[in-house]
Amino acid sequence: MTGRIQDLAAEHASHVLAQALPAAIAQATTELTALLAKAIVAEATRAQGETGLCAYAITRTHDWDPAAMPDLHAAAPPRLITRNGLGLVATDVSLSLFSGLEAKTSEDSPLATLAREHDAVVRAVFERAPVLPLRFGTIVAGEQAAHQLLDTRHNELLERLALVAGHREWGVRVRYEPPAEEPVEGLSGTDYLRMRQQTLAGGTEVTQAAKSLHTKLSQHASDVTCHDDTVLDAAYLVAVEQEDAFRTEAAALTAHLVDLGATVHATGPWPPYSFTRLELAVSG
Amino acid sequence: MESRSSSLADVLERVLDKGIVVAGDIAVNVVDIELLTLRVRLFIASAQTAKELGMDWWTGDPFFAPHSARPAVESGLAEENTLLRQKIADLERALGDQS
Repeated sequence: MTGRIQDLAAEHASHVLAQALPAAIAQATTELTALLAKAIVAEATRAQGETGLCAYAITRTHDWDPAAMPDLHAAAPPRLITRNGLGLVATDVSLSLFSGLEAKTSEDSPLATLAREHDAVVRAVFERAPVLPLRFGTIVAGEQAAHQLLDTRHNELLERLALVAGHREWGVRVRYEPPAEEPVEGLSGTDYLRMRQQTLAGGTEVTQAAKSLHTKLSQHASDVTCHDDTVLDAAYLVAVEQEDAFRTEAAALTAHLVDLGATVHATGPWPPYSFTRLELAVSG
Repeated sequence: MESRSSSLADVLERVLDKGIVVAGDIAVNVVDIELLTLRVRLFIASAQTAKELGMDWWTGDPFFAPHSARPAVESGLAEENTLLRQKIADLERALGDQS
C-alpha cells in the first residue's frame, strides 16, 4: 500500500507540487491576513476602547427626565445611577477624551467644551433636584464603583443635599487697583506726599467697603466661603427666598465700591460648587 | 448683579477647583486636575487679566518709563526682567514635562 502511494507520488510529483504551491500560498495568505487583522483591531481598541463612567454630580433619587439633559459631543446623555435614595449622574466615556487636555483655553478648545458640558449637566440636574457637584474629570470604573461611591458616607451625603436644597450660589470678587499716579515731574514734595496719601486712603476705603459688603451679604446667606488673596473673593449660598434681599444689598454696595474705584465681579446663580468641599476616598 | 451666561474663566474656576473630589481605587485618574488647574490659572493670569489684577503697574509709572532719566535703574530692571522671563519659561517647561 505504502509502496503504491510512493509510486504514485513519484509518478505525479511534478504535477502535485505545481498544484500544492499556489494552494499553500493562498492558504498562508488567508491565515496571515486573519492574524494581521486581529492585531490591527487589538491595537485600535487599545487606544480608544478604554472606557469609564464620567460622573458629574450626586443628587437624590428623583423622577429622571433624560430629555432634560444636554447633548454631549462625545458621549451618550448622562443617566442616573441610583442607590438607597442617592443618585450619581454619569455617562460612559472613552478615557481618551480626557487625555492631553491643554490649559490654553479658547472657547473651542477641548478643555473648554468638556468644562462647559460638565457645568451644563450639573445645572440641568440642579434645575430639578438638589445637587452636590463633583469635580471636573471624575471618572469611576463602572456601575459597581458608582454604587460604592454612593454607599460611602451615605448619610453625610444626604445631609449635605438637604443643606444645599433650595439654595443657589453667588460669587462676588472685589479688586482694587490704585489709580495711575500723575507724573511726578514738576510736583512739589508736599504735593507728591499728598497724592500718595490719597492713593493709600483709597485702598483703605475700598477694603472697608468690601468688608462691610461681605458682612451684609453674609447675613442673607446660609453659608459662606471666602479667600483672602484679593480684597474680597467670596461665594455665598443663598436660599431662594433670600435672593431678592441679597441681590438688592449687593447692587447698592457694589455701586458704592465702583464709585471708590474698585472692580466688582459678581457671578451667579451657580449650583453649589463652592459648598461641597468633601473628599470621598473609596476603596473597592 | 444680573444672571447671565458665565465666562469661560468663571466656569473653569468652578468646575476645576470646586466640587467633591473622589479618591481611592474606584477612581480612574485620567487627568491631573491639580496640575491642569495650576496651568489654567497661569494662562488666565498671564495676559488678559494682568491689567485687571494691577500687575502692569509699571507701565503707568514714569519712574520706569522708557524716557526715564534713570538709565541705570532701567537697565537693571531690564536685566531682572529677562532673568524672570527665563525663570517663568523654565517653570512652564517643567510643568509641561510633568503632564
